[in-house]
Amino acid sequence: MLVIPAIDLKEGQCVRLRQGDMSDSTVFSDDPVAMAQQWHAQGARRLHLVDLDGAFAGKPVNASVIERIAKALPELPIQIGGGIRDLETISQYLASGVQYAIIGTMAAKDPDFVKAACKAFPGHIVVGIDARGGRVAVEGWASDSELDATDLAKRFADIGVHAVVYTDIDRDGMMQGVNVEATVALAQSSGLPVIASGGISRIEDVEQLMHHADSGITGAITGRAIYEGTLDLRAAQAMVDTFLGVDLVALAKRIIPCLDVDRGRVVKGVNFVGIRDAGDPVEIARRYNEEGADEITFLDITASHEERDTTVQTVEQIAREVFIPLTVGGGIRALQDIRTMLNAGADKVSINTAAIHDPDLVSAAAARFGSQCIVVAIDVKRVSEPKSSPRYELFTHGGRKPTGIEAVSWAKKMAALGAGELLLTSMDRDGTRDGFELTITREITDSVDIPVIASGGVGTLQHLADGVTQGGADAVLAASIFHFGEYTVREAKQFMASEGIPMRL
Amino acid sequence: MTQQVAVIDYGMGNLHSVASALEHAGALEVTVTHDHAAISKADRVVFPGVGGIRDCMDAIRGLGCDQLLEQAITVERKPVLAICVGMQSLMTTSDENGGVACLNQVPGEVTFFGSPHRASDGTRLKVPHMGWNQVVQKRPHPLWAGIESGTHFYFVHSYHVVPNDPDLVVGTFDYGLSGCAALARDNVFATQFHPEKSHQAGLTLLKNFLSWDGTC
Repeated sequence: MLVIPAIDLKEGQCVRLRQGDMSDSTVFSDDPVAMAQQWHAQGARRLHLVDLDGAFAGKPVNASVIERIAKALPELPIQIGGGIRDLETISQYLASGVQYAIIGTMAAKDPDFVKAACKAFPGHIVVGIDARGGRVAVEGWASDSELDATDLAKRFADIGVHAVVYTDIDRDGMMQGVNVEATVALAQSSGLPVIASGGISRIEDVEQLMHHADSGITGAITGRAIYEGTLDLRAAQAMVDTFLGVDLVALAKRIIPCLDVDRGRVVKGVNFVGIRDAGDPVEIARRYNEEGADEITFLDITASHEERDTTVQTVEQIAREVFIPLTVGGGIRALQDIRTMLNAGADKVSINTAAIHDPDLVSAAAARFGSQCIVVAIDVKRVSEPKSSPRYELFTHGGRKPTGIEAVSWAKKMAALGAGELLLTSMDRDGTRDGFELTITREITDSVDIPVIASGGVGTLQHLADGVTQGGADAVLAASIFHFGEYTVREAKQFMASEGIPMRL
Repeated sequence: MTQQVAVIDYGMGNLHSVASALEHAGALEVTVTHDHAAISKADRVVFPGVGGIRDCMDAIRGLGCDQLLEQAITVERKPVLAICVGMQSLMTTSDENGGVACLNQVPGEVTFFGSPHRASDGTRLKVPHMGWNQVVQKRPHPLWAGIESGTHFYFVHSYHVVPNDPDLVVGTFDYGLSGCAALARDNVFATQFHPEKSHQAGLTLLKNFLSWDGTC
């Protein structure tokens, strides 16, 4: 559960209202960027911004300020509400670096709009339900509706909203404590993650909410209290983390963008056919490095030997400017190939087919260069019938050639021979965008003591998170969702962090 | 201050990235070498290392790098940065490869995480400790300048150092135990993590090393 500082923007200034009354505002600062930086410095892991003018105008009014905040703090996820009434506005906010768009008035007036938004921007949509005496209030709280807050929330149960921000207007800005019962009831009846808002004024309010985290209370927004000093943001978050057992000092899970390189160009196909050009590997590696990638994997899928020199040169160029770990795979058949790639600047090499033909290569390589730089790539396909107990076997040649080797026992064997890490790719899923093959991922991560990278099939950010939370993977690898600009690596990391996965942000 | 840096090359793998990271951090001249004269001429010395400790120690002794280091650390008193297996080599002994005597520049041991290695709540932890972990700064040091305590650095290792003098530890990581992420004594700074692979934070640390006068 996150303790989320709120910044309400009115005419470019940070203000707080009482019960949503625009004529009863207190100005806390005229520098919203500095204010955001202050909360970030105090340990905020998310920021709640409200465009108050926008809420009344029905369109963004403080968008430029919001963009400046997002640009100043790229590592801090931001949710924005106020004046979001069409898809174009959401698109513009997401493009400016905001992570979540809160749909309030439109959610009450036109629930289908929320559905369309979730479809267009999966994982980025938050619904804001503001209620007064259990009834939904709209248009900057200036008018009430006959709609019951719980009934409204239920309509969004299965369409993929990230969370509901539930604000109790009677409590907002009154410093009289949070309406725990109503908030919990909403979470329980809708089954949606709920971020509580309104009236959170002392650490005891946060404490009450955190005891309901398992009902789906995922956040507590606080405004006036942290500005007036009755609530210490850092202390509140620390209390929550301790209570929920969130270990802040933890080995981060890794996101690894993968470059499939053919004759010096990054390509990506669906199930290894339908190759699509994605650009220059050095340029792309540089971009991922800047976006906060934890590692980069370079897979040389060039068929011919003559092109190997190109690969070595490309690896050298990447290693000269990218100061994160670099794994190189494809065509690694002998100790000399490993030596060549390490000398070119690779930190690890990935051995695939050669390990099948000659398992001793793995042990020889681990002995010579150390396990830390030996990754064994395992390409698997499910071979059992749909209803029978699952069995997966290794395939070579991009999934075309069966080997008859059972995947889990092979993984254990590779670990025993000295592999430092396994790169597990589901050839059934590769390029499909249907998500990782979680069954075999889980089975292998549970059977070996070395780290496992999940690969094959990522189409959404949720898939990445699932690879870790359900598949148990230590790292997740993806290609096309990053290559074609759908998501940045940073967005992916923020999303995973918001799912409670330890990430390096 | 001149920025001539010698990266000691004892033939154990990829020093390319250490050298380019140092250049990126502002070193004017980086020499990857085991030539005694070149190292003696350098203003500061980086002692990297990857691979198994036995092969490393054999190579270090075979090329006379043990004497080079002794000279640089205790006689010339140059700023020395030891990385990963380089750090482990400075200790007295390592449990790896059935027990290997090391350089004893820093009294202490190198021990295995254990198998299975478990967190305090019983969950199984993978070994090697591979990936980005947070480094908590235990003491201020010029090499931490501009780096916040809790910043992530890239680790990859199965053994970790335990210096006899716990006061030498300037940074720790948490991985089922509180391990030594960095230690410092006089003109020596040593890291278990790889600054050359730790993105911006690593480059900042290397930059700090380049302007460090070797005192704490």
